[in-house]
Amino acid sequence: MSAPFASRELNGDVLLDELADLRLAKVQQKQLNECVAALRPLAKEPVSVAVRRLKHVSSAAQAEHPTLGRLLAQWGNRLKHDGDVAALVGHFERLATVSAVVGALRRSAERIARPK
Amino acid sequence: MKKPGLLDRLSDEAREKIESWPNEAQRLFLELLEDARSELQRELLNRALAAGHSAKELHAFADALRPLSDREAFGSCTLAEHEPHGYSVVQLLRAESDPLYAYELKGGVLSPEESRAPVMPKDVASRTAPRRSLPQLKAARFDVTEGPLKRPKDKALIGQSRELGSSGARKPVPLTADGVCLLQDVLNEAVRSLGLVYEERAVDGQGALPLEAALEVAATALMRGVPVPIAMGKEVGHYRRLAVMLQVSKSGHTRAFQLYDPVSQEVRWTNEGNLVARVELPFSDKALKRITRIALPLLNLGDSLVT
Repeated sequence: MSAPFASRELNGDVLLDELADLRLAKVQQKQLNECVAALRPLAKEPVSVAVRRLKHVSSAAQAEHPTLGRLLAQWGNRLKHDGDVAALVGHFERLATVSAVVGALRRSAERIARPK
Repeated sequence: MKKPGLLDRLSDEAREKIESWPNEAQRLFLELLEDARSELQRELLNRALAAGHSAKELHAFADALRPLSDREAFGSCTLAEHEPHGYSVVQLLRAESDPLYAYELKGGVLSPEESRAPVMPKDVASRTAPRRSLPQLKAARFDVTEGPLKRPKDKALIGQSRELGSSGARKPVPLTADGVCLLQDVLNEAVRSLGLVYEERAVDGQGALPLEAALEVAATALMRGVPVPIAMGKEVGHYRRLAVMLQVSKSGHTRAFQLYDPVSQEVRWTNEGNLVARVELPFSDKALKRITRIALPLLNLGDSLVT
């Protein structure tokens, strides 16, 4: 696996920074979910096929949301080995899931009792 | 969609909901916002939309609010401290975020299925100029009594969140085991399209899940890439802040968990030993001493990770 995909912070600090950028760019949860749905079939593809197909996905995303499209393209450029593909798909799955969870936490925050 | 100005004023959560509606339903809702009497009424509709109510429910709610002043509208959708006792914690918590639910909890009746007019909660009705005569009200099945406010008929749904079933009809989701629901319903609504379902559990305390067992299950979920929401507090049963477990890392026989607090925007690694010590969490707010509640994913739908 290439270094960017093997980093401990891929799905920690890096993910949170990307989420902040996407939120700033007003990328909706629905668009993240659609992106994940488009990426999932790539997970078991060899890297040569995945790179080509990812370019289509990122171009399509770029048309609607440049920030999301750029993010996909950046990660697509880092694909070197077959193992990187599943890591990339997993990263975007986590991105979408954490985004949904954090959104739910923010909506639920009002239910927390005031501190004693 | 038309009216980009009004659409921009919706909250992110409300926009997420409405964007999945047919165009015609979206257009009609935006017309409701235009016809709303005041900014307060628009905000109430915004929150009711974000809470997940259907277009028909929102139309009925808007019709109910329209003749009211801001004071009356606020009063009809807010549970004040002097309200009759008997509401559960779940009802109170839900009413705070869902004004349509609060309206019905206070005795207001909305009739999205029929064309009859909605009925105001009793305390608001008594303050406003009568819109209908008593026979008209009774014909609309409004029971004007001197007693306490009536609870909504769908008691089975009170405090329960509703999820779309495969047929598209909303169905109730069971309450958590201890009857407290901090985020299970909102969380499951948010992650449904990602194929996830979470189960919220109390941690430690009588009848609750021991923290050690909760961490075991959480670690399994995190290894599969599924984040785990938690509540933090200073003691058992105390919920001060919500956070999410992002990752787990194993080194030899020890594990470390990465926690993220969306409020303070802190992200911290902490050893499992520190968590089970139940003395301190790695955030700057030192009132957060322990994990007091956790939402664990059901990784195979219908199965619980917790044995």
